[in-house]
Amino acid sequence: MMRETILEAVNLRKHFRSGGGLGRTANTVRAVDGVSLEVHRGETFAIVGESGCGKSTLARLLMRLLDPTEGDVLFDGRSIAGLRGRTLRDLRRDMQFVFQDPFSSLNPRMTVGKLVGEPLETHSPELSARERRAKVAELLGRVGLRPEHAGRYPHEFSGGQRQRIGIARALASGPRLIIGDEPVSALDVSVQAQVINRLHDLKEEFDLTLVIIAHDLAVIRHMSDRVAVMYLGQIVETGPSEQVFANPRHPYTRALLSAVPEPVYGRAHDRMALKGETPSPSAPPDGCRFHTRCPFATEECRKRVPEMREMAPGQGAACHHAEKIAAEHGSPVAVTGSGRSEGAERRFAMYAEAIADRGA
Amino acid sequence: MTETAPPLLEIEGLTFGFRNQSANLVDGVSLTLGRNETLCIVGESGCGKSVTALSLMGLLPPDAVRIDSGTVTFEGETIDAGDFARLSRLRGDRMAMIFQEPMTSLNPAFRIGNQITEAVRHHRGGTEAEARERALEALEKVGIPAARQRLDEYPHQLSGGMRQRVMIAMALVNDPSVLIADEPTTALDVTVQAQILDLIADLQTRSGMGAILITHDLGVVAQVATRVAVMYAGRIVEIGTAQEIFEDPQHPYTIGLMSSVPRLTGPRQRLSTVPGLVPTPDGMPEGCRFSTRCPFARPTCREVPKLAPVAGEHHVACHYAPLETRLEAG
Repeated sequence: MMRETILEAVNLRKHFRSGGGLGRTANTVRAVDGVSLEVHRGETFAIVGESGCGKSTLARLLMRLLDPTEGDVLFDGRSIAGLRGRTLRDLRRDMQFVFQDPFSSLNPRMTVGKLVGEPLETHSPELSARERRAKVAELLGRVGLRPEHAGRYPHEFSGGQRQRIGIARALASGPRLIIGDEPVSALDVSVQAQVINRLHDLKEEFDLTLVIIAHDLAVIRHMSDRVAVMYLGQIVETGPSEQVFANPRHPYTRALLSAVPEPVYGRAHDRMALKGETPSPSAPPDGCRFHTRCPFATEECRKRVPEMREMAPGQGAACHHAEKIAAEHGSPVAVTGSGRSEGAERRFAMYAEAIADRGA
Repeated sequence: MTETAPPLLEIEGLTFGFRNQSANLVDGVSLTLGRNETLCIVGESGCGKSVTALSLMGLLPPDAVRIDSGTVTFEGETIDAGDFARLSRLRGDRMAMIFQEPMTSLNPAFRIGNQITEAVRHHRGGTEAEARERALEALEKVGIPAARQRLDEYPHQLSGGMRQRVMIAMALVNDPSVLIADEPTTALDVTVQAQILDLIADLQTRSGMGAILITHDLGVVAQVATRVAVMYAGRIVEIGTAQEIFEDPQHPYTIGLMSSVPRLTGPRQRLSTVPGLVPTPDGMPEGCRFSTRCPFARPTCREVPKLAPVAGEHHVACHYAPLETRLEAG
């Protein structure tokens, strides 16, 4: 299956210097350390990992909010590294961002109309003020807000509504790709579900490609077509989301999945407890970076860096012992029904139907 | 818990609100907690779960809040919910609380050891050296490596998971019989969350401590709860054993919350959400407070539904429970 690549990272590295000065030696923090990935047109691509794995730095490199220390980012086959002026503006039109914190990413002194209209002024200067207002009203409608909200300020809205304002603003320039850094993680579960559904609909409607950075594995499995799992600045596993989550091949992916508590009573599955904490990205371990915490680590893991190898069609993992671990251990995620009574199942079905009827 | 053992903690008819508003923030909440039990209070932001916990600790701002009624019975002693002074004497001694963000409870300017010894000496007296030994023991109990060295470090020198452990150590240093934890793992990574939840469970088994866990994460609830109370807009809408709540949820709000959670297994289908938002205290609907968001709401819902028994310990406050017989028949 050949698919068109819209965004590509080629051996990206971003190293920050920290500390140092006054006779102290500086540390080099290897936040992103050799990441290559391809995002296909029209898909939702997810990047998952725990704090400090470098996923937010990677997102900023992909958006060109940061310049890489090494490597390149290609959008539509063109390097975005040297873009400036008009060509950079074109990139900003085609590639938009939605941030985690809807409380700090919107200018509190601007009305919602101005916030959503601003990208239109930049990218569609041909619109008259009235056309622009009409377009803003339309965008607000698309994200589930009302046109009269245009006259209000961000503080008058709830977290979920602010995130919708952020999404409307991102959509204003007519982008082809939207990158979301934890776009739903600050929201309550019911509101999170509303925003997830909305993003899904908008993706179809506007023919978008989405790149979602998140730490919540269930959200990622729900939203994404393909996923990349990061650990200490590198991708350790990648592949189709359902496949990776049903059949993880890297021990770190296994550990992550097995640590997620499922909302089902009596589902005490075997957790693969990880020892200790993530090492510092300024002094990553030799060999496989995960070996200090991996229960399967051998002498080889301490010495030799594992390469990304294909495990199944489209699925790759960077682990010396992936085949052996998969053969000896079952899936870390238990798959058995909902654990609910018959009556409860009927209630859930009634609820789903009633909500669908409301068009929510 | 045996039938005859008196509960460790009993909250009866807790009702309070802001002084300048007529609607109650928390409205007639009754809860009990036994030894070794973990009671989870679940609900969205603004449902009243955190203020319920704060009121137990005598931490509500007395100038802004009016306590209308309610008593807290703790280890046989009954305290009026409005008696903040008596409630706060229990805090940090017999009842301890931990919060979501450890940095809001740890003072960044003091060494970790000093912060823990202060908690010991405030309630227990004794010498600094004795308190320091207790602090060291507490840090070791929560699994902090090189604990003696950590005593002299500052909070910023620790990772998020380690800070949360220090906060737990501080909460447990006086061997409380009740631990109240408000979203203790929400700010943590999933593998660290698993470690902290295991730690709390392990400490409970060892000491028989009861725990009230306030969380919005239904996965965490399913894993650790013995009993579950679902709160909405200041009221308990459903309560029961964890098994009852997860296997046979009754209230439309409980069902809506559970439907909103994306899952790691099963078919990927569109999530059924709870439409709209939690009402604000100055816009509380009459009758059933969930009626404005409930897809099944009927005219009857303008009356307040009673928290009525379903089976066993399971109670639900909905005029139409069980939905599949009461609604499909009507």
